[in-house]
Amino acid sequence: MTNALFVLLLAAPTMWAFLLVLPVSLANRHPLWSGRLANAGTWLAMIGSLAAVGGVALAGGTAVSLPSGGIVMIYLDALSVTMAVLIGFIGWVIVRFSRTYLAGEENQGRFFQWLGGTLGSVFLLVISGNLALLLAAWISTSFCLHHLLLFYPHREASIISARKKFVFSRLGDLSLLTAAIMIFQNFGTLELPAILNQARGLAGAAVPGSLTLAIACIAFGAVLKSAQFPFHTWLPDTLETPTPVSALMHAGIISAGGFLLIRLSPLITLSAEIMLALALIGAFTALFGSLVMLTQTSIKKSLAFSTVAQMGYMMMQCGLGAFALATLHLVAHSLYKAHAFLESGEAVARKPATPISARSEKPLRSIGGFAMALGFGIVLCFGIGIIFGISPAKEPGVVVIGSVLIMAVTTLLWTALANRAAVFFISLIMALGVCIAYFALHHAITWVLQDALPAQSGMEVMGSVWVWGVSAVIVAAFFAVFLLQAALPVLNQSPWGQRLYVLVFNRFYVNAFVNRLLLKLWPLAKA
Amino acid sequence: MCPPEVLQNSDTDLLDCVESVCEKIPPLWPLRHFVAVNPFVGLGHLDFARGLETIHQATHESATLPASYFAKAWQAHTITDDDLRQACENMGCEDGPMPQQPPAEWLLEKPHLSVADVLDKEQGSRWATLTVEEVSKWCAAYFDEGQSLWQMPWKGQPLFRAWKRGAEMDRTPEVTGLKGFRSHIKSLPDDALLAIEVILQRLGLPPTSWDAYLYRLLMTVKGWAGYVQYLVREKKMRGGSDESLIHLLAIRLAYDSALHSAYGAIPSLPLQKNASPSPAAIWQEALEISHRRAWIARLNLAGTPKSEPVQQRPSFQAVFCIDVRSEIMRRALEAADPQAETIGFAGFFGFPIEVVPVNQDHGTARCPVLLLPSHRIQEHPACSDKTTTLQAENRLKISSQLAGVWKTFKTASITSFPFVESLGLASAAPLLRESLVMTPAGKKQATALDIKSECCSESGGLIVEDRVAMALGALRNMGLTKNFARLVLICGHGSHSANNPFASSLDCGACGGHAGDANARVAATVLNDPAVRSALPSHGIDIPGDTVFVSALHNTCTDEILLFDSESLPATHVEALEVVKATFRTAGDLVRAERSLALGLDLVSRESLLKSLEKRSHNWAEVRPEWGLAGNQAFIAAPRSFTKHLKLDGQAFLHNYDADLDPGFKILELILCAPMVVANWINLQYFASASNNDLFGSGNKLLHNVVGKLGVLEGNGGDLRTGLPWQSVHDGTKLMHTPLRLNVFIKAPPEVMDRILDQHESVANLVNHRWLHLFALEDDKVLHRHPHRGWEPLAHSPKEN
Repeated sequence: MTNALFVLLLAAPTMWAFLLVLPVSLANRHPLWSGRLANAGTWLAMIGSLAAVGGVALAGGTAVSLPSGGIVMIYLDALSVTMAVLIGFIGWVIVRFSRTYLAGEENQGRFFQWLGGTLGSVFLLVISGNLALLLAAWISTSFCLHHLLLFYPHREASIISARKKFVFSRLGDLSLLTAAIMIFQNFGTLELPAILNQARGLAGAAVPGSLTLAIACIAFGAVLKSAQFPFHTWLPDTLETPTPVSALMHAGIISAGGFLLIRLSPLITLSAEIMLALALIGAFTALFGSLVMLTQTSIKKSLAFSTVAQMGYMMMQCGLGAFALATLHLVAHSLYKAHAFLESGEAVARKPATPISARSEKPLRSIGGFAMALGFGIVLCFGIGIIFGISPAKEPGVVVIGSVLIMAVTTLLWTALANRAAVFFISLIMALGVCIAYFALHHAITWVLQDALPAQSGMEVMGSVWVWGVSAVIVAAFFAVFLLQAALPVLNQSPWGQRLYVLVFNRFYVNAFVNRLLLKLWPLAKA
Repeated sequence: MCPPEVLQNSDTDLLDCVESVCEKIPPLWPLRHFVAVNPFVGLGHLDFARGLETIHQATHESATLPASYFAKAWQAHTITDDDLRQACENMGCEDGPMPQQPPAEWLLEKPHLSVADVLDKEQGSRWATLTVEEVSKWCAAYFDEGQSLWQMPWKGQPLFRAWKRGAEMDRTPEVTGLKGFRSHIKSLPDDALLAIEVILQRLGLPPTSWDAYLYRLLMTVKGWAGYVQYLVREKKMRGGSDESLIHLLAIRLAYDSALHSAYGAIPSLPLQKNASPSPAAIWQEALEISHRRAWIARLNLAGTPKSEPVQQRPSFQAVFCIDVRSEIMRRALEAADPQAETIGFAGFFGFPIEVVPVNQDHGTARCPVLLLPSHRIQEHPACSDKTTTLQAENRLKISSQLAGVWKTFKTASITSFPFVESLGLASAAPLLRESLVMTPAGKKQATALDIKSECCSESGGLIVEDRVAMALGALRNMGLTKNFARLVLICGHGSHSANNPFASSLDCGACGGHAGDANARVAATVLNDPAVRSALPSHGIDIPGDTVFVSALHNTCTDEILLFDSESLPATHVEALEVVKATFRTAGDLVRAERSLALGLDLVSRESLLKSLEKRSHNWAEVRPEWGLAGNQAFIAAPRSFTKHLKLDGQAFLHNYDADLDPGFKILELILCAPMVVANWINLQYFASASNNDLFGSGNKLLHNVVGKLGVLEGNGGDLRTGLPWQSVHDGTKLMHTPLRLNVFIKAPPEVMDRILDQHESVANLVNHRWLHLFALEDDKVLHRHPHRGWEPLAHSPKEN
């Protein structure tokens, strides 16, 4: 049966590869057929991945390669089939959307070729059971995407953003390549099941320096791929490509970094230092991205910084050892962001938001309200959390993530307080629903992924002082931003608040700096 | 105007100059109600050919199609020798050598260069792009209408000062390489006009070149300039004043000034050299002459029916908007029921109202943008009595507040993380629904609202005298004063499309970029009002007691016609209305069949065509839901009998006009000053967006990024975009709109039109400066009004095709 699954799962990438190797001129002459082939690929991917879900549910995780021991090995477990289903579905939505959206475009055929290529690469990436194959898929993903980013090759901004992405991607490739070599040196194999098994065996033991380097390289590759500060700047500037490509990037490709960490989590957890670093980078990126997002004036830039923020949060969860939650975050964010990007044309029809900075509650009243909302938030989150049997002692990440949930629920209720009583009452029910959904999903995903993830996180190995220290720093940072957001109406009137606004609005000048550097190192051809 | 050489540059001169530059900027309506604008509206004082050159000098782009297009038309004999000769003659350049064939590229005037342009040219830098980026960034922050949750702190201050507060702290230009930017900005005065004066002095520019320089600068950010012009215009129409456009000019100038102080370059502003019209203008004229032949032939063939047939009572009458899309529907209706009569009139039906949606304090103007709404109409939920209405309103208020709370939860910092984890998975449902284009049925009924109670109660809406006056005006102006049918349909139009920032560009321009349903409903309600009906006979209009007005909306995407308030129809008319509905369905099938070719749809069966159009209008991936007013070429004001036998392919605005019913020519004056101007705006918007979409259009829909909830950027950034998207005028392989200036055919005495033009300078400018072509239809010939030579019979023989 596993052999049949193997063939079935490779059918989609094969279909897309076939489309990709056709001559561009042929594809462009037959845009309808190119679209159909790309679409057929998504159906194969969905069928294959659903069959694999069945396989894993019945028989548990498995790895298979044909010929036996070959590089083309696929690894099926709860994690990889979840990702495969996700990519199949998102791919189907995006190909379907593109077939209408791009009608009449001159290079439609070429578009579907590279779109198929990208989807095929990501699909392979998540099911691959061999690090070499994974690395190849990793590189090929960004290579195919590069062609999509240059879909309008004559637009100057398009060239600049594609190059920026190109540079960061190659750095990431190099980093992963190094990691692969180090891993091979340590474990004598590139097959994932073997690597993960050996890594599990090492838990608690001393880790050789070369392996720590490998872990660091993996983490760095993930940081680059998932647009972590200060390497995020390639992401918000990739709007020079048709909307479905943005949707695909933000819904799928960007999560590859997170996926890599989760996939290799038994290995990653061997280095508590690197995990703590990831947690800090992720937390900073999350706060940075979400603050910048507040100030952006266009829908797609807001969404782009929302992605930066969400990726940061996911990275932070990985760093805190909450890999199951990170997986949930990854999947949920993909679906959410694919939808948000594809429907970004509705921005005009949708009711405008009420800016937080323009709210005008009386400060005293709002402090009282704030305390009340906070009280409700704490009670709700703790109450529901306890019902679901969540215990902070088992998972240190839960403390951080639970605190963020409390802050979110508080914000929800506090916002509702400015309206009628009925609105507050309904919001309370909504908050209850959010908490239940949150913990129920947390529970479910932990159960689903129990075999794919490490039994214990490196944080426990590390010693509680460090863990609690870092967790405290992160919670404090989130709380600071939470307060800052609540105080925006006041802040916007004060000189230093205004300075902060200019800094955040200009995205800490990182982008302007990187662009200048890029143009200096890689100047545009003179027209 | 800007001062001639010798004048001192005193404050008033500078202000005059700045104001005259600002006046050249066409307004840009926000996407909520995107109204067609003539992009040359500020250049009406110039001749068409001169206008094109001015645009080129200021933008470095051609405002016509590339020369290669004309070369093709020439090779294909679309443009003939005769056309070219006549074009030269019309444009007054007979003495020069006649062009033999189009050049490989247009020879254009030397462009005006700002400091940024000069630097880019000399050093290969990207300052022109970067300065636009910076101005656009701050404009977006200042004008944002609800995208960002953390807004610019200085929104309440005047534009220039608000920008200055921010720019004084903004390190971006310096990080990008512009040294000393912040201190330079600090050194400028806080007052915009003063800043302009200081900078112009520093640059050492003579007053003679101010105009060219400042115009170039504003045109580098013409999208935002257009939006500011819209705000200024709105304020001015309501009696206020607004200097924001001058502020924007000062902002753009400040960046040039900072560049000047860092690099020492000065603007380069060569004078216009060409005295005779440019080849581009002549070839454009020739192209229009070649396309006009078919129109003249058609109109000549149609002729005037020598005697109107004795009119029996029509089976029903239907009033449509003059919109070119109505032409197809009217023709189809008349084919489906030869006894039916259709009438063309501006789609607000003479009711310039402001409609306030349920639970909102402010409404939107539902009238042509040349007018201000005269009355405010409140919308209410459709309920049987007061208590249920109040309850419904209450529910709506609560749900709207909840939506606001929820939106903040979804998009604010911190909250968005748990939001994604708890509810992100739920997005799979809409992804699936939208992908399969599953449209929730009955969505429309939920928003059906009753406006009658307010509009006809004494307290709100319209008082009796106003109702009578508006009814009279509407009926007279649309020429519907006798021979009323039992059912008269007032049929506005609107378009439904999904995920389309430019949806409102497909709605009714006469209703201010909204669907025309509200106007139609108010019109029908007023015309059915017993108080109005009893007052009308004393004004000479006798509407039979059995005549009932019914409002309707023509969905131009699916060509279905939706009836409103038909539940209040008298029982005696129910059967007749059923017949009308059936006629509408038949006509809809005819229209859809006619449109299917241009939409690339297979004509398998009527039902499947309707289905695929419905899907199209709900498909979130569809970038070409319909073709809007693409293809418009002519405006015809004449009795319907004059055009009834013609198939005009949805290319003509049709306005009913019967000179016999207009003894004082007041209606004619109105037509020339309002509907004709609106048609001209629409026509030139399509002209410009099709001729050079990079310059005048809003570019590629696939790259659109809605900014500030009010406009679009293309790709990563740049200026706010104006005009129509490329997908609105091009189907991927060919232009769906050939850029041709409007041919206006009016069946009225030429000398009367002259008299009217003499009284309205801006309208006369359109005619005399060739922004449109005016023709008088006489019984046996067509007269063309030459700007200098006056009315002359057309040289073309109608037999020639």
